[in-house]
Amino acid sequence: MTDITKPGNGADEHVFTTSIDEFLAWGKENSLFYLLFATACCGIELMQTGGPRYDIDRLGMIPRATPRQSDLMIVAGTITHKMASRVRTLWEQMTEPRWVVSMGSCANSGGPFSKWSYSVLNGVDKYVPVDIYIPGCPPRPEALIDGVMALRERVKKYRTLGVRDRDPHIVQGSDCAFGAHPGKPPLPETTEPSA
Amino acid sequence: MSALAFADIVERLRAVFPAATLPAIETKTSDNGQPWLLVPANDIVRVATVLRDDPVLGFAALCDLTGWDLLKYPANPPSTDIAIVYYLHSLIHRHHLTLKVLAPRDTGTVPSVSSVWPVANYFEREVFDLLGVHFAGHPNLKRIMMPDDWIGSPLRKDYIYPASYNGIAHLRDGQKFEDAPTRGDAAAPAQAAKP
Repeated sequence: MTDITKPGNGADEHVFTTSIDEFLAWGKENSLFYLLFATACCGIELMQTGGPRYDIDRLGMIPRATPRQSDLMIVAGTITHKMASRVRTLWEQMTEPRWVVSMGSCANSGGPFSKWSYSVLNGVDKYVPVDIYIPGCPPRPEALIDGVMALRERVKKYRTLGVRDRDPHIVQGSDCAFGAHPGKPPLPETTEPSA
Repeated sequence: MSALAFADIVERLRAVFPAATLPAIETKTSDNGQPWLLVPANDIVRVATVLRDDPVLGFAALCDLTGWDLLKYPANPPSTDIAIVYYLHSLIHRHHLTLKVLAPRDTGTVPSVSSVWPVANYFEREVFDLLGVHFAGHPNLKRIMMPDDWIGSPLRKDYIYPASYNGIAHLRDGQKFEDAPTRGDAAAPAQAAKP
């Protein structure tokens, strides 16, 4: 029987060492379960991205029908003021650590409704912290996948056992800033200056 | 049974009512040549019941009930009323009819036809929500689209745009609604708390 712990017998080929944090981040990065949630036409592109042609499953992204099993919320579409508090509730139900991708102009800034509409929220980042913004009206699936790849770089930096002196909702290195939800307790302040 | 023309429908309607109780209906023609029937607000339920139940008329379907604000409309003579429009269709006879009711702007109350066509329940809630017309006898007259604590009726031509909702500003820094006064401005008149 070959002793693989001895040099030259395969140890350097079959075993690698890492830190627990990096190992956990590697797992998170490759299993970003996303919430099945779409409010407007960006949802069509989101469905297409999950379909067989673009097949976002190959990145380990499985759609979940409940926020309690989700790591990632892709805000795909227009958010009205009436819907915004529901979005916030969904986000609060997600298990930590959690990430938010703002998909398309409406979720980024209100898009075509940003100037003349009384009912549309000017960007979902007023209610939930956003990690990645994807421009487009709507973005093509390639753009969404590109945004997901950028998010994976961010998830890779997340340290589960790392420093706890800052808001655990926010990914390390994130510069997102958002207002406290009216009627709800304000979130703890981050140690970094808000953008 | 065959489809009736507009004049035949009106003739039948006049024939069904006894002469003493005939409502003061008027035939009108819109700018694009479409005929419609102006019904006094107090008689709308009576007329609607006959239109639905008479075997020759047979208007079993209320396709749509909507409203529009006549303020700033180039009507002759100018009007400040709010028009409620009823689109009826007969599934048996394949003919259709347009009714209109005028509601005064400030004290606009129209009898509800939700007892005649149950689908009017949601339509009338929409008109109440967006145009501020009250429907007497409606079983559940509350907002359907805007949040419950919304102020004003957004589809009225003299609607005052709110500067913010729930602490979230509608406009980005430096932006301004150009044509409409914004609530919170000194120039904006006070607006009633409920539609």
